[in-house]
Amino acid sequence: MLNNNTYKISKPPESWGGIQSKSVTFVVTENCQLACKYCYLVGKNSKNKMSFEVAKKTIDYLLDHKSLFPSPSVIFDFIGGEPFLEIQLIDKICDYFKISAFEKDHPWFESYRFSFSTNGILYDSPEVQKYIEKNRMHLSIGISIDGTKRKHDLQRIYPNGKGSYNDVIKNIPLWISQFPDASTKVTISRDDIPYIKESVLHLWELGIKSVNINVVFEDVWKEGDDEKFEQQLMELGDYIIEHKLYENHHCSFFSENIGKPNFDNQNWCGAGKMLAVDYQGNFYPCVRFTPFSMENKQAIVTGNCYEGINLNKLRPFLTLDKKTQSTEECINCEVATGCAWCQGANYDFADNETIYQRSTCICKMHKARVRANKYFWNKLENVNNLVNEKV
Amino acid sequence: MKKFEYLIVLLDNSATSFCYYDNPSYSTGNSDLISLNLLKRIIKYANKNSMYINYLYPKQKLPETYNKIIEKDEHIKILPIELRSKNNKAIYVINPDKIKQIKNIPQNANLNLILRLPRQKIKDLSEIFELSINKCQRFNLILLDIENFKQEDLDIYAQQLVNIQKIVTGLYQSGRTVEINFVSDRILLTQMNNCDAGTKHLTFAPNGKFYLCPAFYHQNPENSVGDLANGIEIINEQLLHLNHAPICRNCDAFHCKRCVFLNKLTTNELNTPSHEQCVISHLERNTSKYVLEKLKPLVKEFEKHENIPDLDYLDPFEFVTEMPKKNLNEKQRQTQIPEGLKSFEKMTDREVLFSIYQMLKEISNKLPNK
Repeated sequence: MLNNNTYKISKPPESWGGIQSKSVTFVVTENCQLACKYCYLVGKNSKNKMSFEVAKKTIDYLLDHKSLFPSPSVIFDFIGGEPFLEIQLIDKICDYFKISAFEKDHPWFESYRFSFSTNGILYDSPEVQKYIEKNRMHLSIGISIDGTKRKHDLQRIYPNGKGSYNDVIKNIPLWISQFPDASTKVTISRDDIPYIKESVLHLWELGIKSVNINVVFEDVWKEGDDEKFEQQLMELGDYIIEHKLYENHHCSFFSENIGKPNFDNQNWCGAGKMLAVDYQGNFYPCVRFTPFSMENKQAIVTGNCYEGINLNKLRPFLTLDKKTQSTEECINCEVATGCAWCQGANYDFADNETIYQRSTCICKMHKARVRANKYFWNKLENVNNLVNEKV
Repeated sequence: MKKFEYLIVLLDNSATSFCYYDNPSYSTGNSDLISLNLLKRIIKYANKNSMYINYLYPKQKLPETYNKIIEKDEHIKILPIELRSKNNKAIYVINPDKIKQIKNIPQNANLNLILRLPRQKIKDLSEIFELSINKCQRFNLILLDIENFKQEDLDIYAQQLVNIQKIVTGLYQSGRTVEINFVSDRILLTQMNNCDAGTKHLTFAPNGKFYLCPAFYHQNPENSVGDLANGIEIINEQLLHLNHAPICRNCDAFHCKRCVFLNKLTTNELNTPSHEQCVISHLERNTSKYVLEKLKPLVKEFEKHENIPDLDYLDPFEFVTEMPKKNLNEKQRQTQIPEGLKSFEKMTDREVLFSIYQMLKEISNKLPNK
């Protein structure tokens, strides 16, 4: 049996804080320079920006209610829209947190992280660089770059249709130099399937050793997409094995643990365990439940920074388990492990107002991924056995 | 078609509430009587589908033609107390504005009463209870405005229950067999007996549409789940069932109404109760436990009832989210696992999974045998 513990291909870099951290998301703006085709934030606009007062109230509330937020660590996620559009506000928020946590002798002062998901366009701006310099030891920054120019520019475009690849790629070397262990998040929609292999390899060539990649949860997949997807993964797998890239590179499509019956009853998604706050000071189970990311449903508000959390609204999220939201087919699925879902997408696509109806739009794509993994791990095992025999 | 046991028919838009929800038209008297034709059709429908009808009455008397049609088939009447007659088969609702009139009901009237008690009146509950209990053979308490309860309301209710448990103990010791929904039901029950709106019963409104219960109609007539012409469709109907309610399926407050309307109102989900609902039901459960323990040695009738175990929480949410059973020591196990769930502890993981989820045998056989 292959011991894949030795291979980085299926091992993502360890995340800071792990499950011990409280994740708090500040949606500082609903604006973005880009209009990515697959973006789930369907209501982006240049109007709604967070005020410092709202951020301050939120931090006060968090720090003053230790019993509600007992985690020893905190990760503040700054997202948008594009968070770097509001870097001065973010700088002020971070300073306020540090000073308040120190003054209140809060344990989070000793254990905090500021995390960013950015399109990378403003990464080299003096304001952003100044902020990075100031907070370097407490930062995680992920730049979304989707792969090769043709793949990236297929989806990640400006409102006028122009691709953003050139404006992002120029900042990658600086980013890698500042965060050598940085990883990127790649999203795959229908049109992207033919470019998966080349894109993952391209990102690795750029020096991004860890590629988190997933297919969109939306109902976009058509007959035959799964086969093309499987083919891409198999070709990528062949290349990885041939060039021994499995030893030093990570791609989240590959995991030896996927594709088995799943008997545990855990929810996949962490919505509700995290907290997102928007420009109005409203709290949400995660950013996917905010008004500007809802296509079909009303947002689910779980409180606000003035009156605090409504714990009753959180109860469904904190007691949600896999079986209660899944169909019999999913519960009994022979290849269930590794199949993901997004609670916000489930809610948005559900037949009525519930988070308890799991969307199965990615079913065929997951099964294709499982088949490709089976192929990959078998081949890797065979290759290594041959090598061992020769040795 | 799904089988429902009974049907609640709102005879008028202003029909009395008999539960947690409020019907604003009841107070305003904004009447909209069901049409005679629709009444005939729904009776026919109920008979065809073997559904027993419970009629909800408005304050005003019905035209005689309606009474004649209604009386043709067996049914239950739920009426506001002001329409009280000698009909002891009826259930009478005491709405908040009629609480003062309880004293006018004769002693030993043997009524089936529903008291809808506003939050502000909870402090007077034991007094009202004492006044009412000798007038009925069944007393049902409905606390109103639960969605706005604060901790102090729960504290006041807890205190009132302490007063009531003494009254009830004395009552049963004296040989009275009156049923009290928030005390005796839990003693008698050995499994969940909830409201079951949408699973055991449906509601038919004067607009000709079906609803999960009257509360959904009064909240918004758009909440309909069907009509006579197109049939009934309850989307995500599984969420109305106990096995799809992660908190409730771990609970032994068997008498709890598990009100899906309140659930939706307070937590956005039909299958998830609020903290306040759970605490109220557990305060009542613990009252039942006190009464049972007091009476078992004294009253023969109570000997046969199963003990109600100690629990050290009032909200099973804590149990579900924070106390995985594998980490419990023996003392914790005794106090924190409801009686109904203890049998699972003796099973292997495979057996537990098999019995809970009724998995296909070939899948369960793949589970490790430990």
